[in-house]
Amino acid sequence: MNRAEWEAAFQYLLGRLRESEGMSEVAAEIERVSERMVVVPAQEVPSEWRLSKRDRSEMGDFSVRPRTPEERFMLALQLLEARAVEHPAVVRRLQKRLDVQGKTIRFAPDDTSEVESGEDFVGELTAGLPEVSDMREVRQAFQRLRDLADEEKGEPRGVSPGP
Amino acid sequence: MKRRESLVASLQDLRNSIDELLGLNATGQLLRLNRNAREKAYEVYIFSLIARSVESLGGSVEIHGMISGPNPPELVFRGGPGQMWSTSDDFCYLVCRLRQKRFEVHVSVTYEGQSAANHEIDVSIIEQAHADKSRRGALFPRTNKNLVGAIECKFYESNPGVVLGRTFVGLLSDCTSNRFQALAANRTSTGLESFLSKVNSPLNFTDLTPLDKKAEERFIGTLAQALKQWSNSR
Repeated sequence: MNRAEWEAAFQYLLGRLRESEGMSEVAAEIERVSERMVVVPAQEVPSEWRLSKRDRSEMGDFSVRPRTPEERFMLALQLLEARAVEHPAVVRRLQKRLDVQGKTIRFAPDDTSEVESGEDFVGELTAGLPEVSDMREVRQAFQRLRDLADEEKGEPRGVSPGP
Repeated sequence: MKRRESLVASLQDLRNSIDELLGLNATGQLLRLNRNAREKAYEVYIFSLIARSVESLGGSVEIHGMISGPNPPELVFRGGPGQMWSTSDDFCYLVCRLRQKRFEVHVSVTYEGQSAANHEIDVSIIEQAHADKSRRGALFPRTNKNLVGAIECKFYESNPGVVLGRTFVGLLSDCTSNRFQALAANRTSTGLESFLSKVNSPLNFTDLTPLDKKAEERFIGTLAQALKQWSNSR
């Protein structure tokens, strides 16, 4: 696909997220992350993105450029994969490894602590997680999307994450 | 013209596939989950891999609750940094035995560094005698030789930068040389790899996810090797 088509695919994904209930935050996060510049070898950067002499001295042989529409689309897939595929896999695996499938796992504040990390979480680990069969369906649907995108990029199809 | 039609079909295929994924109720549920829940889950995942590593050496592993003792009815972890001695909830940890060595594995516990500054270590492996002393006296455990392992964990949603690596290397400079110092993350980037390839950097497990069995085995095996050497020492 060309730039315009990747851009169309990216905007379509954002649009679908924005119109889905409670998912506008996901669209905003994808936009925020995809606007970050990407670090590349200096010789790969087109002349309009050349850095000033001062910045060049700090970056050495590297420079930065905006992401292409294709890269932004693939980055969006990374975020979806982390949330919809990897996280549920992490939960299932740790339950299995600790052999505690039937037990509640929860996170609680430590009242003796005076430090807040900004990454605190209080709640049950499995709260809000769908049924295993539903998560499998999500994983399969994501894999089909990933395979299609990889095909368009000209890369071999990914290996299925397994059961 | 044919090529053009095929590209239009490709874009439509992608749109259809996006519709299929986002049309599932379960996708919405998963995408809306709290980011911090993902971070904390990843720490417990690493905690569980340590249990596996100890068992792979023939060692014993038992889950303890701070209040309930062995085999707690539910597993409670700290949702943020906390103290080794805290009984504000039934915080759990692993009690392990390998040959003559007794040690524990904790999540999100604060340690006192060599400079007397405090550091939260995401997942730590500590000699049991030192952990007992900390609990009895409500004292910060130290980042000295009793700290057998320190693992910084990060669950990324996109390619990471080098900031995490720099922060953790800073923490390690405030520890005596531990047996196992590692950075575990589900994603990597060229910048982070390059930073971590330098001398005195922690071990790099920046591809560690349940979706990659080989990466899991590498972590379990590398830790097992370090624990084996340590358990053979006096």
